[in-house]
Amino acid sequence: MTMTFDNSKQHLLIDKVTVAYGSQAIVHDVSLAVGVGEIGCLLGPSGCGKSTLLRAIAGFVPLQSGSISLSGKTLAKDDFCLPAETRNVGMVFQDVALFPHMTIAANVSFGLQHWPKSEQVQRVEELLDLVGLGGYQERYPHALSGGQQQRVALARAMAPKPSLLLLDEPFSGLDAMLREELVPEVGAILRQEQIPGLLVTHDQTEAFTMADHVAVMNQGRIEQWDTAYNIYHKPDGRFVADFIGEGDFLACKVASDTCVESPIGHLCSDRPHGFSAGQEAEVFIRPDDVLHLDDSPITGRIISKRFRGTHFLYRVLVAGNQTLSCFADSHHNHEIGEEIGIKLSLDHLMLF
Amino acid sequence: MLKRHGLSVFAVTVAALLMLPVLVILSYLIKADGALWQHMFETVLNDYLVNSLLLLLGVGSGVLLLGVPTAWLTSMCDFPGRRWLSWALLLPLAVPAYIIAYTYTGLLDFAGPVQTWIRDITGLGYGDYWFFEIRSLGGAIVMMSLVLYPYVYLMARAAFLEQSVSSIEVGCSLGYSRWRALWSLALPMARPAIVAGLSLALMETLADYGTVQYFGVSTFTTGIFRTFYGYGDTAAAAQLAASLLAFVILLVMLERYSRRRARYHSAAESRARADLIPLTGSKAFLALMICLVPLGFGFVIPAGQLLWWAVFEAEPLGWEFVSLAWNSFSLAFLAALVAVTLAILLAYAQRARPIKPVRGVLAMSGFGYALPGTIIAIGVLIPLAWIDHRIIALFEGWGWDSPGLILSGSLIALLFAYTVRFLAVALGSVQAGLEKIKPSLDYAGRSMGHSPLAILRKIHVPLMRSSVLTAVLIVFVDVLKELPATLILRPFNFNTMAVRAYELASDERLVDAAPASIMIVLVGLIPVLLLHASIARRRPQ
Repeated sequence: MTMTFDNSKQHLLIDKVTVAYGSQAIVHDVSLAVGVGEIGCLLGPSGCGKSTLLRAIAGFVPLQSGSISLSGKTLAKDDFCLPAETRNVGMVFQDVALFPHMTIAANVSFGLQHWPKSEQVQRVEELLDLVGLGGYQERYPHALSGGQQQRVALARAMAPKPSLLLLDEPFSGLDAMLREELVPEVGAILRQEQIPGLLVTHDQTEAFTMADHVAVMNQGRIEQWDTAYNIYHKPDGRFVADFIGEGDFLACKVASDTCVESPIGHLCSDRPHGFSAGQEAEVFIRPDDVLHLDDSPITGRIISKRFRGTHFLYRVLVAGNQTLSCFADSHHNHEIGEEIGIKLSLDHLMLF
Repeated sequence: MLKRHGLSVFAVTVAALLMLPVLVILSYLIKADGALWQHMFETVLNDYLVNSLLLLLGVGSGVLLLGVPTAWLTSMCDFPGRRWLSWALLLPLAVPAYIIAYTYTGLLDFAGPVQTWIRDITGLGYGDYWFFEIRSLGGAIVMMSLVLYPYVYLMARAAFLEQSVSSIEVGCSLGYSRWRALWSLALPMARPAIVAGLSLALMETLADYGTVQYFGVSTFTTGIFRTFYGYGDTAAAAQLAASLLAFVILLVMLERYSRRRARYHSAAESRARADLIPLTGSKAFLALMICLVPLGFGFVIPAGQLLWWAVFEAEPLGWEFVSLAWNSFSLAFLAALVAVTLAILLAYAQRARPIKPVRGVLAMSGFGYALPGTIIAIGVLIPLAWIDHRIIALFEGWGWDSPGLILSGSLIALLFAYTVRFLAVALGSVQAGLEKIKPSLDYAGRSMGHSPLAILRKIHVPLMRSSVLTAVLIVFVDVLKELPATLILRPFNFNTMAVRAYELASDERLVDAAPASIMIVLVGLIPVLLLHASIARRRPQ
């Protein structure tokens, strides 16, 4: 895909970057831009090249071709590669990577080697307060819990006031509760410190909670670079639709610019779907687009059900051989095999 | 290109150089001289083969008999003394087999205290009674079993401890009695580890020269020496070495195979004291005795005898001893420095570029530790002597004086052989240390503005210090104890403590050999205690 950017507003600019190990390209002709004060996210399944791209931005992996620049300064271009230590790019790692032989204070001030001693002490205190670990200066990493260690790692990466902070799956080692708490907090801290960030994750909740823009990556390429809302509601291609959230593809025939004929009736969109009348296509339907109404004329037979506390997720068989997922209120408890009424509530159609 | 691959190229070169002695010996397996084989087969080969096999069989049974029950008792049962016995049972590892051999000879031969005491009590004289002849194949088997069983003990114990308590509990829940669950579950689960320990002990058995030589048992190693020194026949010695090498390769394969299989243990929580089977009364006494036998005969008695000789009976130590100690310590230190420096460079080469050729040669260089010193010595001597003679010919061609054997006749040959044999030990320790420094630590340091050199200094050096020191120490002690390669390769008139102790013992001056021997045993205790400490750290009991 091709993209054009207004360079003046962009902070991090990645232009047609290819990264290869040996003859195998891991990142393929990737372009994206993160604006001033924004948080971007690389989202994708494992092995999609997102971590490699992050490493290339940090300067640990050379480029095969393309260029990376930060506030107008070229970090890497084709053969040229600025050493990682001169890039002023901070990084937080999945395995935390605190130095085990140093105190928390020494860890956080590790990147402040050129600062006067008194300012170092002050900056360490400021950052530890910011991440909620004031007074932990003299402890050692092993004495801290996983969540606390990750906070220290964040403080350490932010201490030298980097012009970009890279976060390589920093939350994946933490348990769900802690993650829920830490993810919005880290986003808030970055915005407060005015440090633009780029997060790598395979967890869409994390991506949606923290990032302004999300790049969905697959097999070394960016499938879509957009806001979280658009990625969910206007997926650009089957991969994105399938990878983000839940949903089913339903065979249909295009009726007009905005409508299709499907096994469960005539469906219309509030905007043109881009296919021409008479074409065979598939419409993508998310479970939150399918409502359960007891007296709806369209019915489906339940083939499985999952209770999720606030709601049920039913898998229903419609029009003989098509399956759909449907969210229902948690007090609408039906048995497997029962026919239930469903109603589609679609604003726009996602056709593929 | 070279700058980026410099370290990898260096690693491959070093490893290839270290493989040279083995390749030289292997080449004799291929270009076997039919007539020579025929002659050796008719005369000596049969003896060597039968004796070596009997030795393997005997020591194999011996170490299993001593190692498995003791490991079992100290890890599964609770009885008085279990705690200190669990580490004390490692002590015999500090005594080289040739030293225990001549210590027991001094104790048990006709003029020794045991037989003298028997004669005093019974009034019998020479030839009136039967007594165990220690200087025999059977004696060699007992001696080696006594000092080599800790390999089996160590591996078996680790396997027993790592077995999850729950697997025993599953057995009990399915109606097995506690003892039967232990026998039919725990023992089979530990089998790969036991076999790995057994093959290590058997490698040492094949490598032994001092014991079998002293006891007059003809095996491959003594055969290599006799052929090499007695007949001056390098080719025949190399061919014998090649046959020995075939045995070693089999054992290495067995060991690696078992180790791979030994990995199915579960990461269980440590066994609580309550999970041990309590032993009381006569059962506890029996358990204690079973553990005290190998400890007593393998360490306490020989070390006590050596200490007695060294302190009360040996000639007072003079300058000769000081110079011996200096030779030994400085040589061992130098060898440790060379081996560990190379190990560090190789480990970093692999870390920087974990490409196939580098990984491959690193795996191959670990093979050296399995090689008997005699094989390495002959394998080092042949190519170095060849180069030396080329150099001499070159000098004489120019009309200069011969420089002598600058490689094969100097410490260089010895250091080369030590590096081949002990690099694997150094590499193991260094790699274990380096593994703890994850690449993300380097990345973190660099993203905070530190150069690679600064990261080496501020992060790697402090984190690597203890594993590097351990590597230096282990190689140091191993070199100090090493006998056969040192005997073959030492420069003229250059003696070490091990060589001198062995020579004195061979001359029947057992008492005078004691000071150097006890010194070797005491220094040998350091890595054993370190081993115990590292195990204890891993598993606080």
